[in-house]
Amino acid sequence: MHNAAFCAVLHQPWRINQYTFFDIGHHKHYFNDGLNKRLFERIARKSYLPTLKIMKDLCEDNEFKVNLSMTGTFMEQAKKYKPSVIKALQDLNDTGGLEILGETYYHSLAFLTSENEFKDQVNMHKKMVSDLFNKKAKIFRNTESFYNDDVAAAAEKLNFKGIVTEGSEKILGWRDPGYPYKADNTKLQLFMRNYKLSDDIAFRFSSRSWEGYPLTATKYANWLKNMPNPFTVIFIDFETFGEHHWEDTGIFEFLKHLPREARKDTGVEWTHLSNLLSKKFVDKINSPEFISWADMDRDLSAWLGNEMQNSAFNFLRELELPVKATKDLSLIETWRKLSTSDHLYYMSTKFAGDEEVHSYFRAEAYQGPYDAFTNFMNILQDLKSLVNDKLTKA
Amino acid sequence: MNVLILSSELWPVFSGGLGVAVYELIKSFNKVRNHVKFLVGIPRINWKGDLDAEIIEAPAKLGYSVYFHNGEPILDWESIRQIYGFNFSLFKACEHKKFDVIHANDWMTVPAGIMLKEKGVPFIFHVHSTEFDRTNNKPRDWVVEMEKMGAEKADLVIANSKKTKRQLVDVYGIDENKIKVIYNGINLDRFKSNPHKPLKKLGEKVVLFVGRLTIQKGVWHLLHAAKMVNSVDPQVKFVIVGDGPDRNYLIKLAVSMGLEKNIIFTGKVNDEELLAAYQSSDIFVMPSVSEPFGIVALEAIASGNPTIVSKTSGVGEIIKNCFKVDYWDTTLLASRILETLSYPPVKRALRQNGSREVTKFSWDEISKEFEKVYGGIKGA
Repeated sequence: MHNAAFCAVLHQPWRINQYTFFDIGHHKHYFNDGLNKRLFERIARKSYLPTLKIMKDLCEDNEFKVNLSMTGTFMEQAKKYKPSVIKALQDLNDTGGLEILGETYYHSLAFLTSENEFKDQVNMHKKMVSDLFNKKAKIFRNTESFYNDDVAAAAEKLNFKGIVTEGSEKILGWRDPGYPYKADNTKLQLFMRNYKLSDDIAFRFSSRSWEGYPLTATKYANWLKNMPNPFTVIFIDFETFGEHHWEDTGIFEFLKHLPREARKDTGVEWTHLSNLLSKKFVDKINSPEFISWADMDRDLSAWLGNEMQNSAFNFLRELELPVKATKDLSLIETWRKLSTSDHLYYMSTKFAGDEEVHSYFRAEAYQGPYDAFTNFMNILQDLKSLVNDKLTKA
Repeated sequence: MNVLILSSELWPVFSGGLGVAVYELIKSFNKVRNHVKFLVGIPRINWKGDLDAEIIEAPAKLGYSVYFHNGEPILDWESIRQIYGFNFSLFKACEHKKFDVIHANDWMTVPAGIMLKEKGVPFIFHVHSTEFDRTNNKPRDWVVEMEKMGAEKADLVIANSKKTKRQLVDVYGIDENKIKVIYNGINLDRFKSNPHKPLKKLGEKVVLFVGRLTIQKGVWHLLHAAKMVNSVDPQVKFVIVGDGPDRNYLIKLAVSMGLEKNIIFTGKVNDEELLAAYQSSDIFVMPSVSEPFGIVALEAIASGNPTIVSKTSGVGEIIKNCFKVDYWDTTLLASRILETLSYPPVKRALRQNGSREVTKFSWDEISKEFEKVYGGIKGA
């Protein structure tokens, strides 16, 4: 029997306001509350609520198991703009069908900022999961599946048992993603996303030019049943349902029928990642270089691929210690909201096949990568002046 | 195949953007698609240039007076007489020539184009700007009628941007299925980034504007942005290249705003000076209120300038690697200028990615589009 772990990520960044050069030093509000509210409400209506309802029904009938990664910024926005989303997640949790993954609270590149910041953000997330769901995550997934050997080691220190990343050929080589591997030099099990089967749903589902179109639950279930390996990790953006593919593409019907179709004739068992934790590894995997699940490059280049992104990230990093030195909790929170990786993603100047995905996510907030950069820099300049004021007064 | 081009201008003699576009198009065909032969009908300007084409100069003179007087668009009997005289003599001069396609550019050659179409030759009307663009929405009905007639009679209309196409559909009521958008190109050999910056020895930061000094070019907004920029950084100089009916007004305005030390009005410049201006600046701005295309922005980008254009411009539709602002948002325009000067990574990114992007608009790429159009319409 084949096992399938269905995983999805729920995330929203705190998008920032238009902030001109003349606003620097005037400490205008940084975050675009109107836009954040509008987008959250729209996506809750089109995607979160209907999808969570379907998942709850399926889990109640013992047909399905779900693994979710939900960021702290997502949960804050749900609380602020649409508390029924939290309720829906708690209902799903009550069915016993939900496993929650650990991650950085702010969906950030904290791992590259500092060890302390990384630890703090992971622990903040742990606390949130415990407060809201009374659960403890065993499996870690770093922001956007950023991964290398050091991330695995850091996750082990924080008591995780497993870690998910991209099933990239860069680290797998000829090996198949659907086997238990050990992250080198740790005791952690490394779960590799099957990006082909994941992207079939996430990107190709409604693409008429794809040979797999139309993708029916039966067709996909058969692909899973015929997998030669012990398990498959499907990992997608939660908004795939209803937002990236609208309801009229049939995506909800697909989700409603897939679990049952797959389980038919004892074909596929849906599972939580932690149930796949094994004592017997087929191999160990090392990854000196960073990989991620994004773009065709599957590395950090979507976030740190050009000079603007690097200079913005360095500026953010330089502010860590001064911000923390103020001991002002609201300033620290603001700095952390700015550490969310989306802010860097908007500055990407990739022009090949990935441009479409980047501009989709940037669309509502910016004209292009250049204003995404200067706007963010203006805000960091203002934050810097705020911090300096605080520190000189103190 | 023989193509008859009709135009009121032809670079390098008596020429604005239209004359440059016509010249570069033919030049590119000469270079890479020389199986297409050109006949070019223009007013008598004693044209001397290096095109491989039969130049037909119609015995008529057209002057600046046709467009404006003291900044107001004018239309008197004299200019109507001039236009019709030109078109009639253009018709007479071309009547017995052999050509397979007529390609008329802008309203001033519409009557000749329509008369020549009677010979059974397909007629393309190419719109580089409309009367509404040129007159800041104070159109002369007669000219609008001429444009409408040209577009209606044409077998195919070419618009130089989606914005122009929308205008033709919404304002002129032209069937959108017969309008094809082909953007203007740029001669990449002429406009190149020059790291030596010959004129920039004073160590000052230069913001450049190039265009006619009329309301629709948005210089008024640029002056207000300049005021804000200089309040933060008095070292920034604004160079305004070009002439036009609003010149005196704008100079007085600049002085009354206390900008006399920071704004340089160069007046009209020659080609060499224009290239030097592009290469001497740190940022190029095109804050046009209305801009059907905006070739100067492509020239500036090709010359290595980080560039800010207004959203209401044709180039704004197609160029990704530039800043886009609302022309009325002077605060944002000023902010973008200061940001570009303050954050070197954005300056370098705009410069590098922009010069890569404009290669898509080489005339050799654009003439490929026209080759398809000529071939298609001839066969139809």
